[in-house]
Amino acid sequence: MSGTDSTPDAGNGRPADSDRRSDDGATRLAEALIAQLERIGTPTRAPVLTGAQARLETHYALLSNLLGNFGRHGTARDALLSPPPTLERLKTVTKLQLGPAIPGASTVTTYDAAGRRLEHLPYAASGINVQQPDAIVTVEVEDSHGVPFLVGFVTEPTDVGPY
Amino acid sequence: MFRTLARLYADPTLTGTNPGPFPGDPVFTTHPIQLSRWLEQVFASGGVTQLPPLGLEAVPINAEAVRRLRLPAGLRDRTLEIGTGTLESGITTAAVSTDPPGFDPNPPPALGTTAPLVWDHLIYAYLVESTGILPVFGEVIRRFSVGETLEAPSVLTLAWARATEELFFRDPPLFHIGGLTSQLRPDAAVNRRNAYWRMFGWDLPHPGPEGQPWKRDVGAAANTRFLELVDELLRQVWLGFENQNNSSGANPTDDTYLGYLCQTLGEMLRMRRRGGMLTREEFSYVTMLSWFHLTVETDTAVVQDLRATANTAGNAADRLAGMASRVGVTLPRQARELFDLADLLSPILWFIELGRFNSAAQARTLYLTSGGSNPIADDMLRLIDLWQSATGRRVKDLSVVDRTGVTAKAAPRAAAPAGDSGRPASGAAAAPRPVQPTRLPAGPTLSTIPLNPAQPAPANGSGAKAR
Repeated sequence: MSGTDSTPDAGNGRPADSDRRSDDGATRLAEALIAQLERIGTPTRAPVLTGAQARLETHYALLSNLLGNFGRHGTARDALLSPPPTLERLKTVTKLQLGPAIPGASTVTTYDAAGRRLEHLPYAASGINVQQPDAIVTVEVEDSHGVPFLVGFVTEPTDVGPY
Repeated sequence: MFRTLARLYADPTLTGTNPGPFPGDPVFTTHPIQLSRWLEQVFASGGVTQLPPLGLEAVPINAEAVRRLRLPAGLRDRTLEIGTGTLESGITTAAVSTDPPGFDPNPPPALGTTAPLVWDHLIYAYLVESTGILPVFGEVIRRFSVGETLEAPSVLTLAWARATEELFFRDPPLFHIGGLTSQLRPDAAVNRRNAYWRMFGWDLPHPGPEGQPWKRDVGAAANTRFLELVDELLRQVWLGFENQNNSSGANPTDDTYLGYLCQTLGEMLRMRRRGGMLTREEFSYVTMLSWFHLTVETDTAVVQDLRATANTAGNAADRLAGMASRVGVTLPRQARELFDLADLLSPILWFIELGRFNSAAQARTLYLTSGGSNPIADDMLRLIDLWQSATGRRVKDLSVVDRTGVTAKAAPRAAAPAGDSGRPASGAAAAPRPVQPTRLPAGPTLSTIPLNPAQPAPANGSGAKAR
């Protein structure tokens, strides 16, 4: 669907939500009028990114960071989790260590080398028990809305230190 | 790439809040053999090929190509057992002041190699080279080397000149990833133009060798539609910016079309990379241009020695213009925009090639602001401004339609800057396709560099003033 939340979808040559439209012209006209009145009575809202779009935005910021751009232009946006997360292999469990406590972190999602989601776990600054440590390649840290805002590339413990 | 190394020197964990720019002198004074080895290590780490964990739909650089082209691990980052020590770069610790890090014979993983350090898109190299930065620095180093027409360099500048000449103005070591000249293609400048032409259908704005040898035997594989598609993409994104907060009336934004444009651009660029083509060229050229970009990004020793400082209020183009005037070169007037465009267009094109804007929902992020900051939309907005300013193409004027060499503009416009041929940059109707159909920086170009050996150097020690 094109257009924003606050605008009709005219002008792009593609009917939007055509499956929900009635064939009755009078009904459609009434619906359009009601919708228009509702829009007039509602203050303009800033468009909001969906969760998927916010994830895309975080990945873009990450790529920009990996290219060395940490706010060279515009607002600084750091999406790279650094120092990189590590796996702490204990006797019975393996813990994912994300370094110093991350403000705003609520959950953590792990992904394998092909980008497949492995586990979705609550964040803990002291370390997170993971079930498939050998498959983990990246980690995304999400806020309380489930929107990822940091991405880390898991490294072996010997690599902890410089990026 | 070298600009990232400058940051890594100052902030090895990349956790600092200082956005930079970071001083280049610690990088320039690192021994060139260490830098050369570091480039091998970074290339071997794979760059953008390591990003599939982000769920990417397409990866433009062939990971298998990187694996086949890089040095074997034992020659790259293991200690040899023949008493010669390691072949690693040894670039592992933060620098202090202008002193580069020393060489550790048994180092931990080098800076920037424990996670994918992505190198810039080829567009970065094209745009930075379009500023005329290479002829300027070529002439500066030549003058430092052969005489005293410039002031005596400081020790830091001498180290910079030595490293620059070793890394970029001579053949690289045998079997180095940057070894792109040979008996078959001996001219590095022609080789770079060849890559730009194939990938973007663009020539550099300053004159090249007679006969345009970089277009020879390219076949029909140059992406000559690139400019047209980028123009249209920026136009549609601007439409999105204009209409995203409409509370009534029509919204002509078409996210599906935006996605289609991104998909077409991505497919077009990936076509030129099939089988790993242009992988080595891209890596070599973007790292080379980042070195020169880093040189003028701050008031480095060489900038100070050539009295081209711009303090914190200035920018790279100001410094470069100051240096260019010392050696008799005039820069294109769009140099400032070209530097900034290079930084912004590089991640956008990577994302387009990675297929991240192909769907309508994804394409909306190109212009949608979420009440706060959306780095993609922020970058696009700035990019549109810079593109208009650099090219003279009226992206925001939606009544003007420009299809270079194909159709005409639909509305009159004010004083379009003339291209090199004297033809208006936005082209008149049905004009035959010129030999060089696109010239991004439409305006004054580099003057001829006084390389004629018969021409005496100015007696006052400064180059001929060309401005």
